[in-house]
Amino acid sequence: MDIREEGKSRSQRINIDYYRQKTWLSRSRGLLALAATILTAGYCVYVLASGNASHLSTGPVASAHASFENECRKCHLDFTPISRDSLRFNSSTALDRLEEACQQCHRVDHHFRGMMKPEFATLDQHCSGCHTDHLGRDNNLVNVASGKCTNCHGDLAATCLAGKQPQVKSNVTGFSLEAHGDFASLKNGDPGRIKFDHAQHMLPGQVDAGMKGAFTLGNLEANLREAYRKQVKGTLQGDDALVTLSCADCHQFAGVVGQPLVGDDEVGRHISPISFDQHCAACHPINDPARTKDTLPLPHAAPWKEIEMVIASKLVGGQQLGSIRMPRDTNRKTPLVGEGMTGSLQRSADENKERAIIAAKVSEGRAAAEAQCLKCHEPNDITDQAIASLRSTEAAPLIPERWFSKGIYDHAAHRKIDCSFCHADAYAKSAVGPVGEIEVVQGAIAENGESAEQASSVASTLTHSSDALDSERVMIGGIETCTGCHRSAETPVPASITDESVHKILGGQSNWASDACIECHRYHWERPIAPDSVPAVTEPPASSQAVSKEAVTQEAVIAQGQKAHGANADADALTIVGGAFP
Amino acid sequence: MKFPIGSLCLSATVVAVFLLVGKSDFLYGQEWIGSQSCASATCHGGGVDQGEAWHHSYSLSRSADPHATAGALLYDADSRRIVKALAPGATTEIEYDLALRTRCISCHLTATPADVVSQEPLSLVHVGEGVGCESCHGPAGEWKDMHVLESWTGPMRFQPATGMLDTESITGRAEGCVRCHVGSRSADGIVRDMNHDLIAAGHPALRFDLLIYNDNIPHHWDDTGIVEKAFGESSLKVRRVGRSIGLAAAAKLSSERALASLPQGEPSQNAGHRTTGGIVPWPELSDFDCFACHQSLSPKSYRAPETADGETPLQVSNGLPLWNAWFSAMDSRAGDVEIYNSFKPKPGGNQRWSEDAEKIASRYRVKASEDAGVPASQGLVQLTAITNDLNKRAPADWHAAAMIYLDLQAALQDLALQSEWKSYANSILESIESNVTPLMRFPDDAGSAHSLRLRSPKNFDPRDFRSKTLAALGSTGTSAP
Repeated sequence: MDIREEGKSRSQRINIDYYRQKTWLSRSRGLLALAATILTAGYCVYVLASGNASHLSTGPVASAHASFENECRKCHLDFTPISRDSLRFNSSTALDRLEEACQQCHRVDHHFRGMMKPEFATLDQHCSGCHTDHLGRDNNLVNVASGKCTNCHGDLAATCLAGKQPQVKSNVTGFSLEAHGDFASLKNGDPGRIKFDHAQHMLPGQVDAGMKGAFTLGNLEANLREAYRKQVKGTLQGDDALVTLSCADCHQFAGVVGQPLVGDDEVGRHISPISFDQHCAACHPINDPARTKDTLPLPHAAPWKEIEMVIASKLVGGQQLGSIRMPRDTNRKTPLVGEGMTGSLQRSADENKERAIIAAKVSEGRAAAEAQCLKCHEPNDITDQAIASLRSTEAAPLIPERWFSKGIYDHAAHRKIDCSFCHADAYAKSAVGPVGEIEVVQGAIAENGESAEQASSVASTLTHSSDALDSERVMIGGIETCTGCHRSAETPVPASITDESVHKILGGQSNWASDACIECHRYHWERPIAPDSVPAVTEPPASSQAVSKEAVTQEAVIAQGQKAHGANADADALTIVGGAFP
Repeated sequence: MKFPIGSLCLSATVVAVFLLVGKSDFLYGQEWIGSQSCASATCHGGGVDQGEAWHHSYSLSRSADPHATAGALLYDADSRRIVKALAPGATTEIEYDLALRTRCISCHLTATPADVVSQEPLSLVHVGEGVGCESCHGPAGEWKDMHVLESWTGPMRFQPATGMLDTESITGRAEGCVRCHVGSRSADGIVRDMNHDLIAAGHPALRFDLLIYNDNIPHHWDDTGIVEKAFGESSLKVRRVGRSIGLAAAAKLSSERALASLPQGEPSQNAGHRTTGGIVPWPELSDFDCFACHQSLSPKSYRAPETADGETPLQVSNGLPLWNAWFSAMDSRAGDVEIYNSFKPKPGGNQRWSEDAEKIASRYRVKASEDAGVPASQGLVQLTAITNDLNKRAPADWHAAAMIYLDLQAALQDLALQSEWKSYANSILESIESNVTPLMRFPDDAGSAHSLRLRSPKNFDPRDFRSKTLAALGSTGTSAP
């Protein structure tokens, strides 16, 4: 039943002058307005007075920037939006300020900005475009998505200005041979200048099957011998045991000597450069005809005048000690009948002639030393001029320190993987099985220290190509050695790494890893420091000291790698600065 | 262990090729690579006393072996005096070097035919190397890569065409030494003729004794290995083989000298010689006993041998000094008439002399092989023979005494290797060392400006030698221990 309200009843329910009556709200409106004004003013006063700018921010900054989180003006300009999506975005103001602010600490240069079209150059300048902050303390600012890279590298032709196309692959869209291309050093060849044969050195005793002269521990320099002596079932090898090298005998992780592998979150996870004194001298001391049990090997990489002086000193000293025989010396055991009562002949006392004799013997010694130098070095590298230049701290090593000329590789992160997986060419080949099998066998010798007989038995199955000059070939694996594990999450495990033997070589670890660009690549250049523009050094807050120290150490490491490649001024090479290693 | 069939086949093939293309004068024309190629610390240049002997054989031989300083020796005062006497016109350094090239470096350096005829100054490296590895082991160009193979063993290595010289057998080692320590005018295509001119200029006379020479150089080989067994088991054998090889080499050299003295000169295959026909002096006095002529002629000191008959076995009394007494004195004493007949003036002159000397050389090379095959334990037999001989007569002269002395010493050393004779033999050796050895040495003349020229046994008395030696041996000479 429809009951409609009557007008009478409505007039009784609603006062006709209701709009003239004051409510509690109208009565307190002024009070509320006043209160709101006071509260607002108080909040402003509080914010301004306390200096706590977090009330104005979009979120906490990353821990690396926490020390100046409340100093917005370090990065921001008043009323100048920094987002490229903002209607009032102005790159020449906001980004200039941001870049300047970042570079107060991160001394990085632009990334080929001069080759980019303006819209891409803006991206390069926009630090926070990749390193987005205000996403919380734990936000990893260097964890840049691959899309940020492929935004340009997916089509460099569209990114770069006309006539400024780079020499690198122009369409990198992912991490596979097709999408990325193979490593640059495999295409460019080995720039090293040390003649070396890895496979021969990996043979027990360093000789092929059927050859004499296997090296024993007793043949090593006595003071360096212990580094190569291994345990055989709990007992140290004797001097008659064959020298059996493992990769780690020469290729050692950078870091504190004697410590285990450095941790994943520390720097120095590359392989130290080869040093003659540390890695070669035990087997390859530079000896001369004056090398006796009393005298020492010649110094390595010394100027020839110094070498000659050392030889002369050894000749004289060795003669005095009785271990070196010079003309007319009378240390024969049995004088022939007919010789004088003392068996002696008259000694020359003519000093000029003595000098001629020493000069001849020194020349012989130098020739012997040169012959040994040339086993590993090219003739042009053993001249006085070349030696002086190689001794310079600025000199590039004769063996490249890094083989990823445009990327980085973390050996420590891959330490469970057997070296042969990526460096198969470094091993001797065998008639009895594939490379992996050889490595397992040799690994057992290296780690467990088999007897000389057992090592000899292994040696009988091994051989190598005598014309394998490793200085003429790059001995890293191609990109296919990486892509088995480093693939997208959606890509299934390839058959190449599911085999049991390969699984063993991989050390039993997970067969998936990220394929993000930042796993291997860094973006920034080191910005040259002008002497008059070095910012004043201030004591960093305690909370950031560790980070700063790490950054400095990394810079040193990176600069060392940069030197190795001579990449400072090479626009085609990549230098990495700052930021934590993954 | 896998049989190294590949390397075995390779080395066999190489040797076969060598045999097919080999030349008789095998070192001539082969590739010499220098001692420096042995110097690597992973090859033969390791630290002395570190590891196996092969590993530091270069270091040991280069630092302590007199061969290593044989080149540098050419520039000391004594050598300069010798060269000045030989080539008075060589007043500049380059002339001095050329004189060395002509007369000295064939023995004092590792020299090739090209080296001895070169007109360039000698390089310091060449001089510093002296007698290098390849002088004794042969030019290594052909065998350097082969000698590291396990299959590179046995006598095949020393086939003439390989270039590697035999340093392992007693005869082989002696043959290597006598190329310089006796001399030759043909071996290796160069002349190594240390003749009377050189001795007169001050060079010591050559009196090669394999046992002493082998003992005096630092052993850069494994003394305990099978190769050295023959050298360790009998001093008498080493000494006899060395003497036979030495006599053969001396006879061969004498034959070559006789030919070279002829107007037509030496056979044409001896290319590279600096001498031409007819300029080699004849008779070559260094072929003969030095002290037959170089002695005082006063009646008081004249040391004519004691003999019962008119002509002595050594023929000194009839004015003909014994040919090469250092090697032949013992055999002459034993009455080897072939030596007498071969080296006497005779119809046919130099040509006949040369032919006879070749026969003697061949005969003694055969004898050396026979000596090498004699059982080792001959010490007592030899000791008895020497004692009986000395009881009959004194040695004719110093040379004959020297040979008796050396044989006696070797026999006693062999005897000392037998436990039941050891103390007896050693006691006699000590007695001989004290009483007889001083008789065998020449008087010291240190301080003399001509010390190298005056060395002779001028005070030697064979009767004194005989009595003191017999005294050391005991009255009967063969008393039981």
